[in-house]
Amino acid sequence: MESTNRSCLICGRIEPEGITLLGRRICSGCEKLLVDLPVEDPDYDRYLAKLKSLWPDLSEERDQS
Amino acid sequence: MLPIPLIALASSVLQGVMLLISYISNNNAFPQPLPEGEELEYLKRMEAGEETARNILVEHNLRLVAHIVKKFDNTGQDNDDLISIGTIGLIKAIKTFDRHKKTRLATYAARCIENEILMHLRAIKRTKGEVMLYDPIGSDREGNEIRLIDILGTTGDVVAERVEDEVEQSKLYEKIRCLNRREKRVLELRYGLANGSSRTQREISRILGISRSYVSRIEKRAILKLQKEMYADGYR
Repeated sequence: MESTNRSCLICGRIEPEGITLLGRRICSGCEKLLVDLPVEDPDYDRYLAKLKSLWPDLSEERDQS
Repeated sequence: MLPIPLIALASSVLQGVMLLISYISNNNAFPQPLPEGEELEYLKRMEAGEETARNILVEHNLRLVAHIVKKFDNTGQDNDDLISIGTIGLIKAIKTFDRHKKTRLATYAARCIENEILMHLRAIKRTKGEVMLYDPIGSDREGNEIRLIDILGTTGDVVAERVEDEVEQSKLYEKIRCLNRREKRVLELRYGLANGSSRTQREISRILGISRSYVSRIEKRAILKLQKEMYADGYR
Protein backbone atom coordinates (compact mmCIF):
# COMPACT_ATOMS: atom_id res chain seq x y z
CA MET A 1 0.00 0.00 0.00
CA GLU A 2 1.17 3.53 -0.77
CA SER A 3 2.44 5.83 1.92
CA THR A 4 -0.26 8.20 3.11
CA ASN A 5 -0.35 11.77 1.85
CA ARG A 6 -1.58 13.61 4.95
CA SER A 7 -3.24 16.54 3.19
CA CYS A 8 -6.93 16.14 2.41
CA LEU A 9 -7.60 15.05 -1.17
CA ILE A 10 -10.56 17.45 -1.34
CA CYS A 11 -9.72 20.59 0.66
CA GLY A 12 -5.94 20.18 0.91
CA ARG A 13 -5.91 20.81 4.67
CA ILE A 14 -4.03 18.60 7.09
CA GLU A 15 -6.51 17.39 9.69
CA PRO A 16 -5.92 14.70 12.29
CA GLU A 17 -9.24 12.96 11.71
CA GLY A 18 -10.66 11.51 8.56
CA ILE A 19 -10.53 8.50 6.28
CA THR A 20 -7.63 7.08 4.28
CA LEU A 21 -8.35 5.63 0.86
CA LEU A 22 -5.53 4.01 -1.12
CA GLY A 23 -2.99 6.16 0.65
CA ARG A 24 -4.89 9.45 0.29
CA ARG A 25 -6.61 11.28 3.14
CA ILE A 26 -10.07 12.75 3.17
CA CYS A 27 -10.49 14.92 6.28
CA SER A 28 -13.48 14.32 8.55
CA GLY A 29 -15.12 17.61 7.44
CA CYS A 30 -14.95 16.74 3.75
CA GLU A 31 -15.96 13.16 4.45
CA LYS A 32 -19.08 14.39 6.22
CA LEU A 33 -19.91 16.71 3.31
CA LEU A 34 -19.30 13.91 0.83
CA VAL A 35 -21.61 11.54 2.63
CA ASP A 36 -24.35 14.10 3.34
CA LEU A 37 -24.35 15.88 -0.02
CA PRO A 38 -27.47 15.11 -2.10
CA VAL A 39 -26.66 13.84 -5.59
CA GLU A 40 -28.54 16.82 -7.08
CA ASP A 41 -26.22 19.32 -5.38
CA PRO A 42 -24.06 21.22 -7.90
CA ASP A 43 -21.04 20.60 -5.64
CA TYR A 44 -21.49 16.83 -5.96
CA ASP A 45 -19.70 16.80 -9.33
CA ARG A 46 -16.83 18.83 -7.90
CA TYR A 47 -16.31 16.21 -5.18
CA LEU A 48 -16.52 13.40 -7.74
CA ALA A 49 -13.79 15.04 -9.79
CA LYS A 50 -11.55 15.13 -6.72
CA LEU A 51 -12.25 11.49 -5.88
CA LYS A 52 -11.53 10.53 -9.48
CA SER A 53 -7.84 11.24 -8.93
CA LEU A 54 -7.79 8.17 -6.67
CA TRP A 55 -8.28 5.83 -9.59
CA PRO A 56 -5.87 6.83 -12.32
CA ASP A 57 -4.51 3.38 -13.12
CA LEU A 58 -7.25 1.11 -12.03
CA SER A 59 -8.98 0.18 -15.25
CA GLU A 60 -7.10 -3.12 -15.37
CA GLU A 61 -7.97 -3.74 -11.75
CA ARG A 62 -11.64 -3.21 -12.47
CA ASP A 63 -11.50 -5.65 -15.36
CA GLN A 64 -10.06 -8.31 -13.10
CA SER A 65 -12.47 -7.83 -10.21
CA MET B 1 24.69 -0.60 -37.20
CA LEU B 2 21.51 1.25 -36.25
CA PRO B 3 21.55 5.08 -36.19
CA ILE B 4 21.39 6.68 -32.71
CA PRO B 5 17.87 8.23 -33.05
CA LEU B 6 16.52 4.80 -33.96
CA ILE B 7 18.13 3.23 -30.89
CA ALA B 8 16.61 5.99 -28.71
CA LEU B 9 13.20 5.33 -30.27
CA ALA B 10 13.50 1.57 -29.73
CA SER B 11 14.54 2.14 -26.13
CA SER B 12 11.57 4.44 -25.52
CA VAL B 13 9.17 1.88 -27.05
CA LEU B 14 10.69 -0.87 -24.88
CA GLN B 15 10.28 1.31 -21.79
CA GLY B 16 6.61 1.86 -22.68
CA VAL B 17 6.06 -1.87 -23.12
CA MET B 18 7.71 -2.56 -19.76
CA LEU B 19 5.51 0.05 -18.09
CA LEU B 20 2.44 -1.52 -19.66
CA ILE B 21 3.47 -4.99 -18.46
CA SER B 22 4.05 -3.70 -14.92
CA TYR B 23 0.67 -1.89 -15.05
CA ILE B 24 -1.16 -5.05 -16.18
CA SER B 25 0.54 -7.21 -13.58
CA ASN B 26 -0.17 -4.67 -10.82
CA ASN B 27 -2.88 -6.46 -8.96
CA ASN B 28 -2.58 -4.67 -5.64
CA ALA B 29 -4.43 -1.42 -6.36
CA PHE B 30 -7.70 -2.63 -4.82
CA PRO B 31 -6.93 -4.83 -1.81
CA GLN B 32 -8.42 -8.31 -1.68
CA PRO B 33 -11.62 -8.75 0.40
CA LEU B 34 -11.03 -9.59 4.06
CA PRO B 35 -11.64 -13.12 5.37
CA GLU B 36 -14.84 -13.27 7.46
CA GLY B 37 -13.06 -13.55 10.83
CA GLU B 38 -10.77 -10.61 10.09
CA GLU B 39 -13.68 -8.51 8.88
CA LEU B 40 -15.51 -9.12 12.16
CA GLU B 41 -12.39 -8.19 14.09
CA TYR B 42 -12.06 -4.90 12.20
CA LEU B 43 -15.77 -4.18 12.64
CA LYS B 44 -15.36 -4.55 16.41
CA ARG B 45 -12.29 -2.34 16.36
CA MET B 46 -14.13 0.26 14.31
CA GLU B 47 -16.99 0.21 16.82
CA ALA B 48 -14.40 0.86 19.51
CA GLY B 49 -13.42 4.01 17.61
CA GLU B 50 -10.32 2.79 15.79
CA GLU B 51 -9.96 4.86 12.62
CA THR B 52 -7.48 2.48 10.96
CA ALA B 53 -10.01 -0.33 11.21
CA ARG B 54 -12.53 1.73 9.29
CA ASN B 55 -9.99 2.59 6.59
CA ILE B 56 -9.18 -1.10 6.18
CA LEU B 57 -12.86 -2.03 5.94
CA VAL B 58 -13.47 0.60 3.25
CA GLU B 59 -10.36 -0.24 1.21
CA HIS B 60 -10.93 -3.99 1.32
CA ASN B 61 -14.44 -3.51 -0.06
CA LEU B 62 -13.42 -1.36 -3.04
CA ARG B 63 -13.44 -4.47 -5.23
CA LEU B 64 -17.13 -4.76 -4.42
CA VAL B 65 -17.60 -1.22 -5.77
CA ALA B 66 -15.74 -2.12 -8.97
CA HIS B 67 -17.85 -5.26 -9.31
CA ILE B 68 -21.15 -3.37 -8.92
CA VAL B 69 -20.05 -0.59 -11.30
CA LYS B 70 -19.74 -3.25 -14.03
CA LYS B 71 -23.53 -3.64 -13.91
CA PHE B 72 -23.86 -0.02 -15.02
CA ASP B 73 -21.53 -0.33 -18.00
CA ASN B 74 -24.38 0.31 -20.45
CA THR B 75 -25.45 3.61 -18.87
CA GLY B 76 -22.86 5.62 -20.79
CA GLN B 77 -21.50 7.09 -17.56
CA ASP B 78 -17.80 7.53 -16.96
CA ASN B 79 -16.52 4.44 -15.11
CA ASP B 80 -14.23 6.43 -12.82
CA ASP B 81 -17.19 8.63 -11.82
CA LEU B 82 -19.25 5.54 -11.06
CA ILE B 83 -16.40 4.14 -8.94
CA SER B 84 -16.29 7.44 -7.02
CA ILE B 85 -20.07 7.43 -6.53
CA GLY B 86 -19.98 3.79 -5.46
CA THR B 87 -17.20 4.61 -3.00
CA ILE B 88 -19.39 7.30 -1.42
CA GLY B 89 -22.06 4.61 -1.05
CA LEU B 90 -19.46 2.28 0.47
CA ILE B 91 -18.31 4.90 3.01
CA LYS B 92 -21.97 5.42 3.98
CA ALA B 93 -22.42 1.65 4.29
CA ILE B 94 -19.39 1.16 6.56
CA LYS B 95 -20.53 4.11 8.67
CA THR B 96 -24.07 2.83 9.18
CA PHE B 97 -23.52 -0.94 9.21
CA ASP B 98 -24.87 -2.73 12.26
CA ARG B 99 -23.30 -6.19 12.63
CA HIS B 100 -25.96 -7.18 15.19
CA LYS B 101 -28.60 -7.18 12.44
CA LYS B 102 -27.32 -10.49 11.04
CA THR B 103 -26.79 -9.10 7.54
CA ARG B 104 -23.38 -9.60 5.94
CA LEU B 105 -21.39 -6.40 5.41
CA ALA B 106 -20.94 -7.20 1.70
CA THR B 107 -24.71 -7.61 1.22
CA TYR B 108 -25.48 -4.36 3.03
CA ALA B 109 -22.66 -2.44 1.33
CA ALA B 110 -23.67 -3.73 -2.13
CA ARG B 111 -27.18 -2.31 -1.57
CA CYS B 112 -25.80 1.06 -0.44
CA ILE B 113 -23.35 1.26 -3.37
CA GLU B 114 -26.05 0.39 -5.88
CA ASN B 115 -28.49 2.89 -4.30
CA GLU B 116 -25.93 5.69 -4.52
CA ILE B 117 -25.30 4.98 -8.21
CA LEU B 118 -29.03 4.71 -8.96
CA MET B 119 -29.73 8.03 -7.20
CA HIS B 120 -27.06 9.66 -9.33
CA LEU B 121 -28.44 8.16 -12.55
CA ARG B 122 -31.96 9.34 -11.66
CA ALA B 123 -30.67 12.86 -10.97
CA ILE B 124 -28.98 12.89 -14.39
CA LYS B 125 -32.19 11.69 -16.07
CA ARG B 126 -34.21 14.46 -14.40
CA THR B 127 -31.88 17.18 -15.65
CA LYS B 128 -31.21 15.59 -19.06
CA GLY B 129 -33.57 17.87 -21.00
CA GLU B 130 -32.40 21.02 -19.26
CA VAL B 131 -30.11 23.46 -21.04
CA MET B 132 -28.39 26.17 -19.07
CA LEU B 133 -28.69 29.73 -20.42
CA TYR B 134 -24.93 29.95 -20.86
CA ASP B 135 -24.56 26.51 -22.48
CA PRO B 136 -23.14 26.61 -26.01
CA ILE B 137 -25.79 25.45 -28.48
CA GLY B 138 -23.87 25.82 -31.73
CA SER B 139 -21.73 28.23 -33.65
CA ASP B 140 -22.29 30.96 -36.21
CA ARG B 141 -20.85 31.12 -39.76
CA GLU B 142 -17.57 32.52 -38.48
CA GLY B 143 -17.27 29.66 -36.00
CA ASN B 144 -18.08 31.82 -32.95
CA GLU B 145 -19.79 29.95 -30.17
CA ILE B 146 -23.51 30.74 -29.73
CA ARG B 147 -25.02 30.38 -26.26
CA LEU B 148 -28.72 29.95 -25.54
CA ILE B 149 -28.85 33.39 -23.93
CA ASP B 150 -27.58 34.93 -27.17
CA ILE B 151 -30.68 33.93 -29.08
CA LEU B 152 -33.22 34.58 -26.33
CA GLY B 153 -34.75 37.80 -25.14
CA THR B 154 -36.39 40.71 -26.93
CA THR B 155 -34.48 42.08 -29.84
CA GLY B 156 -34.53 45.75 -30.75
CA ASP B 157 -36.69 44.94 -33.82
CA VAL B 158 -39.39 43.30 -31.73
CA VAL B 159 -39.51 46.30 -29.40
CA ALA B 160 -39.71 48.73 -32.36
CA GLU B 161 -42.54 46.72 -33.99
CA ARG B 162 -44.49 46.71 -30.74
CA VAL B 163 -44.10 50.44 -30.26
CA GLU B 164 -45.19 51.02 -33.86
CA ASP B 165 -48.28 48.85 -33.35
CA GLU B 166 -49.22 50.77 -30.24
CA VAL B 167 -48.83 54.13 -32.00
CA GLU B 168 -50.99 52.95 -34.92
CA GLN B 169 -53.58 51.61 -32.48
CA SER B 170 -53.91 54.89 -30.62
CA LYS B 171 -54.10 56.73 -33.95
CA LEU B 172 -56.89 54.40 -35.07
CA TYR B 173 -58.88 55.04 -31.90
CA GLU B 174 -58.47 58.73 -32.53
CA LYS B 175 -59.80 58.38 -36.11
CA ILE B 176 -62.85 56.43 -34.95
CA ARG B 177 -64.18 59.83 -33.84
CA CYS B 178 -64.74 60.69 -37.50
CA LEU B 179 -67.36 57.90 -37.80
CA ASN B 180 -71.05 58.47 -37.14
CA ARG B 181 -72.65 57.00 -34.05
CA ARG B 182 -74.01 53.86 -35.79
CA GLU B 183 -70.73 53.11 -37.66
CA LYS B 184 -68.80 53.54 -34.44
CA ARG B 185 -71.19 51.21 -32.57
CA VAL B 186 -70.94 48.51 -35.31
CA LEU B 187 -67.13 48.55 -35.23
CA GLU B 188 -67.08 48.51 -31.43
CA LEU B 189 -69.29 45.42 -31.37
CA ARG B 190 -67.71 43.73 -34.38
CA TYR B 191 -64.08 44.06 -33.18
CA GLY B 192 -64.69 44.18 -29.44
CA LEU B 193 -63.22 47.67 -29.15
CA ALA B 194 -65.20 48.44 -26.02
CA ASN B 195 -64.76 45.25 -24.00
CA GLY B 196 -62.56 42.92 -26.05
CA SER B 197 -65.47 40.66 -26.99
CA SER B 198 -66.14 40.62 -30.74
CA ARG B 199 -69.61 39.77 -32.16
CA THR B 200 -70.78 38.26 -35.43
CA GLN B 201 -72.68 40.40 -37.93
CA ARG B 202 -75.82 38.36 -37.12
CA GLU B 203 -75.50 39.13 -33.40
CA ILE B 204 -74.99 42.81 -34.11
CA SER B 205 -78.05 42.84 -36.39
CA ARG B 206 -80.14 41.49 -33.47
CA ILE B 207 -78.67 43.99 -30.98
CA LEU B 208 -79.24 46.98 -33.27
CA GLY B 209 -82.53 45.69 -34.75
CA ILE B 210 -81.32 45.92 -38.35
CA SER B 211 -80.62 43.30 -41.03
CA ARG B 212 -77.28 41.43 -41.18
CA SER B 213 -76.59 42.72 -44.70
CA TYR B 214 -77.12 46.28 -43.47
CA VAL B 215 -74.61 45.65 -40.63
CA SER B 216 -72.17 44.33 -43.27
CA ARG B 217 -72.59 47.50 -45.38
CA ILE B 218 -72.13 49.79 -42.35
CA GLU B 219 -69.00 47.86 -41.32
CA LYS B 220 -67.52 48.07 -44.82
CA ARG B 221 -68.24 51.80 -45.10
CA ALA B 222 -66.75 52.49 -41.63
CA ILE B 223 -63.55 50.62 -42.47
CA LEU B 224 -63.20 52.50 -45.77
CA LYS B 225 -63.60 55.82 -43.93
CA LEU B 226 -60.92 54.80 -41.38
CA GLN B 227 -58.55 53.62 -44.11
CA LYS B 228 -58.89 56.95 -45.89
CA GLU B 229 -58.19 58.85 -42.69
CA MET B 230 -55.16 56.67 -41.91
CA TYR B 231 -53.79 56.98 -45.47
CA ALA B 232 -54.16 60.74 -45.19
CA ASP B 233 -51.87 60.61 -42.18
CA GLY B 234 -49.30 58.55 -44.07
CA TYR B 235 -50.17 55.05 -42.69
CA ARG B 236 -50.19 52.15 -45.13
